[in-house]
Amino acid sequence: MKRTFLILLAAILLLPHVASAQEPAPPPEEPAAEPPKVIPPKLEKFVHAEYPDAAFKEERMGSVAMLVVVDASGVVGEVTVTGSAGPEFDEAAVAAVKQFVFSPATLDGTPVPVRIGYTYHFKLEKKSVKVEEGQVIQGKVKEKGVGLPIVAAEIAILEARTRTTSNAKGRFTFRKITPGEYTAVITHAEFKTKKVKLKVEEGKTLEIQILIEPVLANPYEIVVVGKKEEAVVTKYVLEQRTLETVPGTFGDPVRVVETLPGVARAPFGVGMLVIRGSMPQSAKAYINGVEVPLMYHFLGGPSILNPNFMDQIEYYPGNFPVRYGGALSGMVNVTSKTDKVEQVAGEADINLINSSVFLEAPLSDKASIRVGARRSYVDLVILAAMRAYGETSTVVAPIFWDYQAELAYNLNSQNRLGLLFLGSQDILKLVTTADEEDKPDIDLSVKTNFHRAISSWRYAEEDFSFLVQPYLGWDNFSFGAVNANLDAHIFTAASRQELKWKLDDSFTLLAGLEGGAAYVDFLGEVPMPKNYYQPGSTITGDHQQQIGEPEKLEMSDIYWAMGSYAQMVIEPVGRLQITPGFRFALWHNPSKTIPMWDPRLVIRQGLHDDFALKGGVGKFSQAPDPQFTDEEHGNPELDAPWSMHYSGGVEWRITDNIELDLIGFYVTSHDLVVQSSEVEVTEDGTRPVVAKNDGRGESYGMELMLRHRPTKRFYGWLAYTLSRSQLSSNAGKMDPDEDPTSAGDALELSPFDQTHILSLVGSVRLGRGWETGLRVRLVSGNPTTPINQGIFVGDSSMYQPISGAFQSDRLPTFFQMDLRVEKLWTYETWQLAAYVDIMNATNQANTEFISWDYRFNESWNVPGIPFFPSFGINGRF
Amino acid sequence: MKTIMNLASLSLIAVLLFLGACSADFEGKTEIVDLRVIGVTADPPEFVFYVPPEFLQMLFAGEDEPPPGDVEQPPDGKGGPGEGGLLSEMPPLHVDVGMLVVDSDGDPGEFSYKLTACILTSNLECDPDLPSAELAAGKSDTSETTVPVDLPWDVVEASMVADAVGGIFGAAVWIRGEVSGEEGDEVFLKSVIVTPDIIGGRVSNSNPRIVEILEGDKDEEKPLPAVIGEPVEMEVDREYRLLPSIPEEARETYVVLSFDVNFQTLSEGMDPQQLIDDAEAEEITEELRVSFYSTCGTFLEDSKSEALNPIFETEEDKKEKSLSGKWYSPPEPEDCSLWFVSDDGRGGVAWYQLDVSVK
Repeated sequence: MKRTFLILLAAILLLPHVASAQEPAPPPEEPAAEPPKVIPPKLEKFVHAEYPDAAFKEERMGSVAMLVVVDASGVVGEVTVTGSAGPEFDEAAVAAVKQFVFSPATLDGTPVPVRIGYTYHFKLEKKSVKVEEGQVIQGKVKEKGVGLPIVAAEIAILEARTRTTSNAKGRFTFRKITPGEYTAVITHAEFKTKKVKLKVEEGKTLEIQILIEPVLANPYEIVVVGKKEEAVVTKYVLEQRTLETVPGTFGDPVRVVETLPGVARAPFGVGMLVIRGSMPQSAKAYINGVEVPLMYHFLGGPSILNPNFMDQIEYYPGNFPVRYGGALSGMVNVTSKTDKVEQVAGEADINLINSSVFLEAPLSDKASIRVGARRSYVDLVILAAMRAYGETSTVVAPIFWDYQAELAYNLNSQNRLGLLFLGSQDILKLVTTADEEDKPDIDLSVKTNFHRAISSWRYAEEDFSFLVQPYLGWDNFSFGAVNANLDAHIFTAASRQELKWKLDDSFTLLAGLEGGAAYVDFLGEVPMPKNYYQPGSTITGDHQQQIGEPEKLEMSDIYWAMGSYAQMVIEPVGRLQITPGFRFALWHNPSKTIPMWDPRLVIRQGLHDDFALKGGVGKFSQAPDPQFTDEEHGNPELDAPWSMHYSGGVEWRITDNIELDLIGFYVTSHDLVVQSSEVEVTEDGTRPVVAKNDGRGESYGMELMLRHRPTKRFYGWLAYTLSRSQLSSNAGKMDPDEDPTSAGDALELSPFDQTHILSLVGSVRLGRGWETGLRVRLVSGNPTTPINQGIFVGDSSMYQPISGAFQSDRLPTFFQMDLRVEKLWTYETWQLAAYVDIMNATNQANTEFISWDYRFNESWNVPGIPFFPSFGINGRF
Repeated sequence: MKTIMNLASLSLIAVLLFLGACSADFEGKTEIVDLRVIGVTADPPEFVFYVPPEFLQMLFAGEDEPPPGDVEQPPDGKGGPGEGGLLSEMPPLHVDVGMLVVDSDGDPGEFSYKLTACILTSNLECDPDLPSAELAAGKSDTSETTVPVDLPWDVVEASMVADAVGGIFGAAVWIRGEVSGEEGDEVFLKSVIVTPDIIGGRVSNSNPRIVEILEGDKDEEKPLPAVIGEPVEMEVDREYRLLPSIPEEARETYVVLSFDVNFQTLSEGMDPQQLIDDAEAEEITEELRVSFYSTCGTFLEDSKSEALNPIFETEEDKKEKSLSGKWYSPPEPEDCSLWFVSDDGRGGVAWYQLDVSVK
């Protein structure tokens, strides 16, 4: 296997010198890798502790809570007592635990050291019955409510003075049990102790299933203490527990990213990813490393991936690794679950707005399936609400559905095959309460949908792993009105391969190869502007007469792209880690092939086990959007915009659970694509340039993350960003007249520049199924241009604003506090949760933008989301 | 297994959609509550005159020296610069500027005004570094005031030079007015278009004209019984459909040049004659708009337009288009005024005042 990949590696490394053909999808669709996955350790060998003599004689019992370090080979290392039961119990418990053997935890298939919590219970029973030749008791220990198998639960039959431990599947067996009635006690560090009565009959094997209830709702968290492969400056990974309980996100895991450092606040909570003040199109969103056209449903809807499918979300505000490309600022990658499905489980949710179902089941010992689907009917709800309000109005309602399905086949412990299908559709529909005769005569349809089929073969052994990931994509967009219609289709076929090879303790190699092609088909008919000049129209606003008859637009092109990357993690001495990397990609539009060379470097110097300095510099390129490179309607000569990221900072683990991350950054952007009003003279006459690489930008600042890692009872973080982000006045703006006072190349504040962004998040488990959380956000207002007065224009009988200095003012500071309270009831085979999630609990009137009267005399600060409580109930099995 | 997606985020959508329906309690545009300028006319609104090609080249390039050599003489009957002359040496253009100034009871009382011709900055102020001229200043105490002014040629020429395309397809000479009365101050702008005669058949625009006001449902529209000097009697608390009657000839047909590229792309360094040669002449018929104002009752719409929405409306819809406005008379008897101000989208403006007695 390794030899085969040596050849592949050579091909990958040589590629930049010989490549001249292929690459991925149309836009910057450079597929990225799945992020590392953490698989917890499994207890393989349990050792009973010696019951202390004195305690035995005095009939004393106790429980010892410990933090146990399990090294990369599964051997127990340091054991720290965190909950003492007295020196004699502590000593016995530590001695026993040190003899435990685990299968090691793995990070992306590679064994890593971890720290876990474990509680050893010392219990005494007075009754005793002599064990004789007899019957067999077989059983399985499961988690009450959700039915997951419980590993390493201790099952003691008191009267028989015998005990055993459940295996990885929660199974256990007792032999030679004399017929009779017994009491079994089941104990586990994370679960409530349970007693059950057993009746063993002559000649019969007793088969039992025991359900035990977790002490806290989430039975166990894993704390990664070693991340040698994480050769990045800043990366935030959201664990499962923090995915769905952050107040104000309404249980949507992807929205948690909005509370991390570097992410600017989006108006009205709509799903826009604005990183370090850059324009939203500079950031990219991926699912399993495959770019998707949208991460959220329309108009502030939920993310397009059912939370049940999500494993984790990784977010890079900048300086991301070479395995990712196609973004100028930062990126988010959502990975789907890959853990083995052990039993049938499901969930159904029916509410006023949408319904969703989810089901997972093993198909055999090696194969399993997960499926999920969701469909909205928000249009009917809005209609009912408008009628209840007595409103006679017309609004646009979003209707959507999404689906996911995954077939997985685990060939063995090293090979996994997966096939993931996912898709989404959004439609905008007009909803009106007007009478039939007063209904607005508007014919409008807007629809977008996409589908992805992502196959994968993942091979992993201790020092070597690879991933092969071919995928197909089908994106559609349509717009229809009386005189205009557009239909766009993009079919993508691409693949990505990546290998990781740890040659020795000081050298790890990561290399990848990706390529693909996209067929873009665009057909439309739209009224085009009649290009004649109306003197004074820029002031009177009389542009309506410049629209002509509908004209046909047609475009069918094939775009291709290919790329390769390599990264070395070198640890020459001590805690020094040097990670040079290089990414090369070619992007081809029908007229031009654009090379993109992106060298990157990350250096990390640990000064102590808990303290490290880190820094990075790198180039990040993004291919221009196909809409700007079309031969007829764009500029095929456009080059790729690019940015330079410089960042450096410290990482400090203050305590076992509290970490600090402080980063300073400076980002410059170059060759940004901007609209151009120039014309060029060709042999055939004149033609508009349409777009040029004339934009630029820069942002700088610092990001701080003070985080309490998830424990049994608490998680939380404080994220703070201090930044300034600027763009040239011609960059990223659709309207070239937007800033009439500035020269095109001058730097101005980005529309999303927010000087201070502070997020405070915390959630506490109170016990008995109660959990409560708080989120507070304090954010500087976006830049705005003041209006001093209005002036009446006699030609059009309209008023025009007289503005102050461009972006010389800011909207008021944004403050919002969100609360969440949840109660979980656990029954034998299912769970029920009820919660209230209150957005803007203080009903703060935050200004999202300023509206003016017709005369620009009076203004109204248009508020954002008001006090908004939401109640939810759901069940799962 | 994780907890499920809930209805909350989608309920949020509903909230956002309702937010869209919310608005501040702003003063209505049709409602006159203090001193306002609601109409400004320039008569004539446009001058078409002959300019020799060499002069166009000079304007287009932003030069302030006349082209070398002889300048072609204007044909008989055409205005324009003489031999070797600049526009600034021509006699000024005479314009009558009309102002419709009203306040909460219709009668503005005494107010002062000042009119200045100048080149506007991007913030709609007079550019102090470019030519300007104070055209008139004075006082008036009637709602309709006409002031005769002369536009000096240096301002006209500077306006053409400052124009986005060098004035070769016409330029707006802006008159900036300031009005100050007991109930407030107002600033307004009004253009006078100056158009070089580079297209055959181009004639000067003229202001539209409102003859009378019709009342009644469609197909049953009748002129309001008006007695000169007397208000029209109308009933309290009733909806009226009012249609300004505008003669068909007010919708003028005019000729423009259209190009393969957007006018904003016509930039310095290009040969204006080549642009003109490459362009195609196209005839366009004006589409009128009407704005409604009143000192009592309520107009349902701010304004109406004959122009089609290019995305959502067809030529069929044009037949249904009407410049009528729905007016709700006040619940109590009172005397008040209604105004209908029409414009043609290229500088032509006219208005009609309807005095009513609500009983």
